[in-house]
Amino acid sequence: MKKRPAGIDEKHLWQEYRAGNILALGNIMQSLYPDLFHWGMRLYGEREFVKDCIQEVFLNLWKLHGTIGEVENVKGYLLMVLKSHMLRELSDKNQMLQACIDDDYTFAVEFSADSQMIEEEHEIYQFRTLEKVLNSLPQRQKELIYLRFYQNLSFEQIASVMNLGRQSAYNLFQKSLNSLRKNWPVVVLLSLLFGV
Amino acid sequence: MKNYAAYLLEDFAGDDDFRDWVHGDRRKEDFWRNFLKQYPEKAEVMQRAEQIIRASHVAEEALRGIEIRREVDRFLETANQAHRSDTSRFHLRRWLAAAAVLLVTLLAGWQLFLRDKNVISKNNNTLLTAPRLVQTANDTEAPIRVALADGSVVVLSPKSSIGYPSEFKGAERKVYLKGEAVFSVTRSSRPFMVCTGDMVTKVLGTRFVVRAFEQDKKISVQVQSGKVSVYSTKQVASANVRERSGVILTANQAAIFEKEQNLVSKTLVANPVPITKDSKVANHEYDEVSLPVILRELEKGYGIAIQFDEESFRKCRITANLSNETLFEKLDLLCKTVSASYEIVDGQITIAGPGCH
Repeated sequence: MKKRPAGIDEKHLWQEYRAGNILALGNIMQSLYPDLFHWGMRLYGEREFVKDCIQEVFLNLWKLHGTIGEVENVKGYLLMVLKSHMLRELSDKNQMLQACIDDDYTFAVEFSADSQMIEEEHEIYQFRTLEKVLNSLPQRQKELIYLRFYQNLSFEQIASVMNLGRQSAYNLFQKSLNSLRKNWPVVVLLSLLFGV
Repeated sequence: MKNYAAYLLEDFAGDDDFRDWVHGDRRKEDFWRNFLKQYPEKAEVMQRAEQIIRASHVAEEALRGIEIRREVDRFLETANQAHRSDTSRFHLRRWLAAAAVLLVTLLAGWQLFLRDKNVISKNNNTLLTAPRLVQTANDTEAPIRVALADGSVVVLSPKSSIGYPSEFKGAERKVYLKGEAVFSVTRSSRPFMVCTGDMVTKVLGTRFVVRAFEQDKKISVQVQSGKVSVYSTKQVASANVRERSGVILTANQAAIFEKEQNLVSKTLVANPVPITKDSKVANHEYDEVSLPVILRELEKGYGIAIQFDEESFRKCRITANLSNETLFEKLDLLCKTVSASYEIVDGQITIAGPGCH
């Protein structure tokens, strides 16, 4: 998988951006764009709308460069800001009350194991079963699984993106794993890492 | 140390290090391999956690690099425009009030930029509070405008970049240039300084162009009108004197800074332009006019001192129509008439010849 390690660069760029360097903010945008876009598309699958929202988020950030504070994890923060911006835009768009959409937004994700990583034929069946369970989870749980394993956030960050307490986020995660446990495929899985 | 021995499925799946390992982060490879050897009973639950993580994969969105680049450019452009209209509106009047108009061209080596910055920091007690520099680079094909905190505006040429503090603090306004830029500097008691490698161009408030591309070995400063001082920072650092050695340039003068020799010398710009709109300079018919009178007019018109022996040239009478010629063409013409010659010495024009009797 292409996941990069946690953004040390972004943290440094964030400092420069706070000091008034617009190019640093541009660099943050450039390097996090794929993740932000992917996230935005999960919340509302219209490319141009997502792109516009990302623009607006960064323009707002630029306006705040003199006053904005330190951020522990830039990506986690931006995912949170993008989400609240999109939900606000969507509530305007759909003439809905903010309070309404906060709990009632859709999250569209389709879990599907990277088939290039599956070497053994019988594994395909195992993965399809797991994917099916994952995809049948309630939306909030899917969002959490996505933030956890696609966006690689910590529970701390997931909690702030999902507007939950850290413990609630972890409890929700456990709930998802219990569903997976119950529906675990019978056949013993072979694995890449354990080289059985 | 986390108590991995007691870990359950959700603990492994919820562990950042474990997740990163499954995602291909090999920095913890040895740790997990050893862990498995030590706790073989954990192998099954770890395998399950791994399967869950791998199954939680989501296909990436189709998004081309150029699309991202376009979006970043769009952001930078919009943000710059907003910034520009905020600042330029309020300071336009101050430009118009600025009396002098300078054109300074610096052709300079840029690699000394960092060193120069260090020199300034060392000599500056406010090192710790020194504002961080904002870097703006122009990667586009057209000039871009950068508004500075004091209301000054920089038009940055392509392939150029400028470093400046987000807020000017202290006694001086210092910016660092690589490449070319036109500066419109607001008047202030605090001097405005353009640092390029080992050379500094200092102005009090005016408009000028600085050019300092990396590949050039010489720095040259060209002044169209107004007053600029140019000096080497090397001399400042080593001599530790208040008085800075350098040159003061006025209209149509230029300074050449030889980096290797660390020498600043004065000359004239390639094509001096009149500093006044006086028609006497632009177009004048002379009929039996004494040469010194014409030379004084040129001196005034171009703001360039012309040295000559008044006594020997007083009797030279000139009949000529000087209009569209450049200053040097005019001088050629005048000198030819009286068998004299001119030289450019130290930013001035010196005319020598037998004179007329």
